[in-house]
Amino acid sequence: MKTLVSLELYKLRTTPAAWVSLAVTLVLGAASVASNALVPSPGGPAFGSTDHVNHALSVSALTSMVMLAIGVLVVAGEYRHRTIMQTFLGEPRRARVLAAKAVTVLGLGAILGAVTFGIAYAEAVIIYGARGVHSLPVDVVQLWVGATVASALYGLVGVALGALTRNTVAAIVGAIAWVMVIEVGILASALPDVAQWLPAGAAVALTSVGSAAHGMLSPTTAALVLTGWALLISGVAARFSLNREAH
Amino acid sequence: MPNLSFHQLSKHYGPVTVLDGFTATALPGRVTAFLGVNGAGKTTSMRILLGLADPTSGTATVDGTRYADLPHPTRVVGAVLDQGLHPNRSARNHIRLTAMQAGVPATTADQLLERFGLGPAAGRRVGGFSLGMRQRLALASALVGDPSVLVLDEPLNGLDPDGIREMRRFLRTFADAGGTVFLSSHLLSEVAAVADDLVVIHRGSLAAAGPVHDIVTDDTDLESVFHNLIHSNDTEEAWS
Repeated sequence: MKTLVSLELYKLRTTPAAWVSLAVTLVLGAASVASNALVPSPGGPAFGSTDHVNHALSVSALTSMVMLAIGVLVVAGEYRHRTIMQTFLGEPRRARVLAAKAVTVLGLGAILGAVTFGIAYAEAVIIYGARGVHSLPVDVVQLWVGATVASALYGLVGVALGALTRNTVAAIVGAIAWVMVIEVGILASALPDVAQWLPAGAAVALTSVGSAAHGMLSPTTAALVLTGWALLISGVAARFSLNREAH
Repeated sequence: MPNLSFHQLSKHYGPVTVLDGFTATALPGRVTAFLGVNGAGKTTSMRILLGLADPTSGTATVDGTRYADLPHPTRVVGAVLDQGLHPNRSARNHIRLTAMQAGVPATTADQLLERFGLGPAAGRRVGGFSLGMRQRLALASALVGDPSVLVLDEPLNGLDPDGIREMRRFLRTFADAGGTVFLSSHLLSEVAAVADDLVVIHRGSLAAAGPVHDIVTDDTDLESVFHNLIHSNDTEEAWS
């Protein structure tokens, strides 16, 4: 398994997609913290309040979606470029290949989530400190752990969707449409009691404090729910993808 | 040195029969050409042999062992099918990846790039390679585990005359050293120049097999023999 994970890491670092994703995440993450902290929003929370800082630190949505896309690319990208056959010639036991991809993306997601949040937090400390707020009124550990866990699990969901669809565009567009349109756009307002148990609802609960977390699951429950969704989708992917022929 | 064996291999996709009890062997020290018209079942047979597809029934083995059960498959079998090369990955990184898969040092991969004339292009993206360069890279990658068997699907496609000559020479040397070569091709004259044995598949079944000199006699050529084999089978079927 160690060799297979090394292979997956080698694949990622020898193509531009992962590096571009990393750069985009760090740049957008830093920009969003500055923008959310410094640009006043009419009727928004007071500067330096829990809700204001929570909004400024909300980079986990970005890292989660980027990791979902990377997870999709790690599997579906191999089908797109037909490199999956070389992968299966080297390791014919497909379950091990899929497991290695899952482990790789889980690890990368955790690192990307933790590092991006760490940078965002450092940036926030500087920005708020410069304006007289020297102690951020949020549970930083909870947000940091939440960002790490959410990014890792969304990466795992991406791997599963990539395995199921074998199509990068369909998987990424489908996942974004589900999260942004179905969950956030419709269910979050129409059926909030249901939405909180869905992947995006659980991720919001896991990575938010203040009023954004009111009425949501507790962070621990949210982590368990999100883990459950990731494992369920992965199980479905394993069930329906491992025996399909590689082309 | 291992042989390759297809035994009563059948493959159905719903109502469509692609392979129908196909049985054949490829022996060590021989270049075995695998011939058939498009859709005859060549690629499906090779894919089953390499564990990329499952047979409906029958077996395809390397020295009696399924490919998927080989401990280090790419150290036993080097394969060139229609597997892709990531267009944004360099040739050096591609072959080093296959070296990692096989558990061999990166230096072996680099040496193979030089041996196949790709040293100067090692750092270039594969997406910018010509078809011939891609074929050479695929073959070099197949050899990285120092296999004793080569399974090649249309390896001569895209090669210029010099490339074809080099490929013929390489295959001959590989087989003379005891290796097993099993290659499919539509270029019958080129096949005739390098193959020791023929396996002809038609509509998923074995149409003919044996040494080239037994099948292609002095007063005919491989193209005519191949045409007659396919045509006679179709005629028999039409009248049956």
